[in-house]
Amino acid sequence: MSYVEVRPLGPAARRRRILRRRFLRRPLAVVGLVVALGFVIGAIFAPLIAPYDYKEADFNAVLAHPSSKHLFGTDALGHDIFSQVVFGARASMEAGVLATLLALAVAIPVGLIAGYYRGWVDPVIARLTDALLAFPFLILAVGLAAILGPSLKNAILALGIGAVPQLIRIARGEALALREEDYVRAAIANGASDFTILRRHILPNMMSTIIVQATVTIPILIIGEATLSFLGLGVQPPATSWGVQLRAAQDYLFDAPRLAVYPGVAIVVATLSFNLFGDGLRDVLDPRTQR
Amino acid sequence: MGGFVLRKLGAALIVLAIASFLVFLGIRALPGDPALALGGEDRDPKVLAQIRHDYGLDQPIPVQYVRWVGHALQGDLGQDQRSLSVAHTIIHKLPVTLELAGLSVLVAIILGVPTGVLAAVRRGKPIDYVSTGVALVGLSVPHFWLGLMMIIVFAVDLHWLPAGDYVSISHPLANLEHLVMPAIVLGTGFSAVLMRQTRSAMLESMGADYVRTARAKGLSEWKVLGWHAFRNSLITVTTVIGLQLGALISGAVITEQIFGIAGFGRLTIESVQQRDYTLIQGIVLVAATGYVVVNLLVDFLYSVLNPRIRVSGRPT
Amino acid sequence: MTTPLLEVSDLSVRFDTDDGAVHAVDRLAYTLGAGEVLGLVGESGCGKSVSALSLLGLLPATARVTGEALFEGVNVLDVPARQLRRIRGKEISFVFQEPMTSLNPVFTVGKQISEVLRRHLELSSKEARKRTVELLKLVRIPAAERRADEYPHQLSGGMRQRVMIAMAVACDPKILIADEPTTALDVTIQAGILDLMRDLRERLGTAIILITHNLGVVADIADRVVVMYAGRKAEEAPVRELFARPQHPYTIGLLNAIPRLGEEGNGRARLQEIPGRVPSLSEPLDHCAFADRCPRADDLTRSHVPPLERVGPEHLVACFHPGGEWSH
Repeated sequence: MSYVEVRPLGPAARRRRILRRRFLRRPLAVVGLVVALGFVIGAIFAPLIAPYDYKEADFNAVLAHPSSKHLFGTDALGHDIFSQVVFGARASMEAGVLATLLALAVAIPVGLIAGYYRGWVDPVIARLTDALLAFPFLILAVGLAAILGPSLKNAILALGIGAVPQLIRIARGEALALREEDYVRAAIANGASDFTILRRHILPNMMSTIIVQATVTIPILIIGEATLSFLGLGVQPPATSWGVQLRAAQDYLFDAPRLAVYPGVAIVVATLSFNLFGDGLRDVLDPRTQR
Repeated sequence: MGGFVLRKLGAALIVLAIASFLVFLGIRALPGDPALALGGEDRDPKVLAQIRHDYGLDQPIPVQYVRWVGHALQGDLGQDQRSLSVAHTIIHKLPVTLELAGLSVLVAIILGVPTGVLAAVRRGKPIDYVSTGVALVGLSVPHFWLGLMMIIVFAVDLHWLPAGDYVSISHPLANLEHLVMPAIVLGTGFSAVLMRQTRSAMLESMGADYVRTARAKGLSEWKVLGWHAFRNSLITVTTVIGLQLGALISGAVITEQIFGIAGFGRLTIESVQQRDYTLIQGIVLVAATGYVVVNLLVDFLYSVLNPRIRVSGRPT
Repeated sequence: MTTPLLEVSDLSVRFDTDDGAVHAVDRLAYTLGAGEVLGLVGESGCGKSVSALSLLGLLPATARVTGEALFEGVNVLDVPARQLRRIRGKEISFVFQEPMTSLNPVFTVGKQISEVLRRHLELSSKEARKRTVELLKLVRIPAAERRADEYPHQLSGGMRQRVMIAMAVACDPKILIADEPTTALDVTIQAGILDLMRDLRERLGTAIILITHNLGVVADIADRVVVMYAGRKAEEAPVRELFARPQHPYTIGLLNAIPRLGEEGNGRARLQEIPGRVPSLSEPLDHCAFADRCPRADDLTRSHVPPLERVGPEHLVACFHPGGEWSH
């Protein structure tokens, strides 16, 4: 018997394989990933999946109960609810993903600079971040809607801005910790430029934490979009999103409560799947968490 | 401890200053003439000139800002579109929301913390999976939808609870009856977060060396977990509560909307719908200030709980 | 011959982890007499700490412990939790390696010591407080009265270790297990801690299991030594005997590796190292664990597990080719 065998794979590939194996051992996380992807794909291919166009009104079947013709029934104007839910996914996915990407685009560089350079930049950024955090997200969104006018675009902007402070904190924390790592110090001692160090040592190593955080931010922003649209501050009719549908459903709460159930369940399932996936990802990537 | 608190106070003041400046700028950033925005519908040039003078709109921005802050510190936040004092309106509606928020926090702590501890202690057992699962679902449910569902079930179908409105606290029973559902709705998301944080904080302290030492001393499991481990996890949990308060206020806005409660949250929506900029300005300022103040209190609580801060003024 | 205080036999510990099993301890056996100091020696990862932790049931949940450890006739590896809790801290106590993380940061050191007093001796809080201060003085902490109300982060590393020792001897245990008590400390502080332990042993008559990788410490204070390698016992002997006539190639290697001043090559002779690495413990080995690094390895040692054999009075070795010289 000899030493542990050196595998033929390189270290990076081996790590990926270990991570993949660990991930696949968590059925819930896999389910989350699959369902989340399902929503994203469903959103992209909505016209192919939905039996009707969501704007198509059938005045003969108003507030119909679920049937073989209308899977979820119809709403007050004869729209097929199932198609609405499918199309509604578009706005939600768009908002969730785009807003997160937007926030990341701002937060990563800012956080990196704050955490890596410290000095006077860090406290300034920290105070600014805290100030942004002091505005409850919804009030921020409301304020922005007041200034810019309600629309999906502005909602995404508001959501992105709302998500930025938290992401900055995380990026900063990572950069701060990584800066103290021995290999970074070695690189500095060897005369590597700041840019090289950031690009080659710091950024790749904080990626796993950032990815986990992004995966967990998306569901929050999905709910955020729904909330804004529900309040009339996001997607504007006739465009649709789950929040818009819920807003309309309010008027029929007593007569046809199911109008509120379907879009709501869609939100819950979509959010839950992203959360499950994000949780699983975190367990797999962070060696400290035990599960 | 003094140093710590002082530093946090200083930071809070700076944050407040920045936040208030942002609010101030936000209003000024509106397209068009600020005088028109502030004045509402009136187009009479004489009135506009008067507004310009009152608000000092012809002065440079920094001066305007200082004037505004000065007024604010005296409790004057201007007048809204209906010429009512903004400060007065806000103060009138605030207690309602505070009561709602307070009840929700209570609900969240009572639901979230013990569950989190239980899940950590019984990790891997069914109760852990169940409560973690429930918490995850709780996180994934939008406030307003939960509110709608609860209204459907409890108010429409079962007729147990009223569907909305608010009864003043002078009628305590009715008051509670009306606030039960909103408080639960608002508290659920928060409790889910609390549960998860408590669980992970507990797991971390349970795995710490000092817990092993406590066991080696022959202490009962109750003492080891409930006293040694929990006391340490309390520190993390407190910080989490502080961070979640912003979300609580956001949640209050929607919850009040759905349940027809005329509080601070509803006021926010109305002010946007009516494009009442002075009111919006006042509201955002109050919200931000409230957040900063509460966080300061949480920081203070944190320093009490963590002897490392209390005694030497530094976290490590 | 008096009955030993502690009789460990066939002790094995296996960890079932996410990435496979780890066989940390393999059929370890030794005895400890009352008032004796036993040194448990080996490099990091050889299983010495794990074997000691298993005695008090302090291993994580992934550990599977088999075997017997008779303490006053009772197998402590197999007692109900209640009974174990009565033994912990009172009959057998443990001093951990890292004093900073082993003390609870949110309670004062006095409180943490009083805790164990009140638990086992049922003292009132006043009595416990008094005894706590006495204990702090016993472990030579100056200004004991004041220190008792301080928090762990306010004390230096050496003082924290003394507090841990105070906590451990508070209820006058029969056995004190000290896991690398000096490793985390400066050399100068080390001497003080060892002094203290020697003093305590004389005053209180406590038996001590001293776990360490430092042979110097062993020579200083131990009566007998057990050398461990890859979870197994390699050699056991009274301390002088071990240093004078080491039999196992691993022990010889360890002793050779101690740097010495002057002498050969004007003090420039290379440090003798033991080539190779510790074998992976994911499978129980069916041959001599040291075979890959042993200058005496042959087909026999690579295919069979060497049994323990007596090579002298109270001197045992697990080796097919024991014996040999080393210059000291």
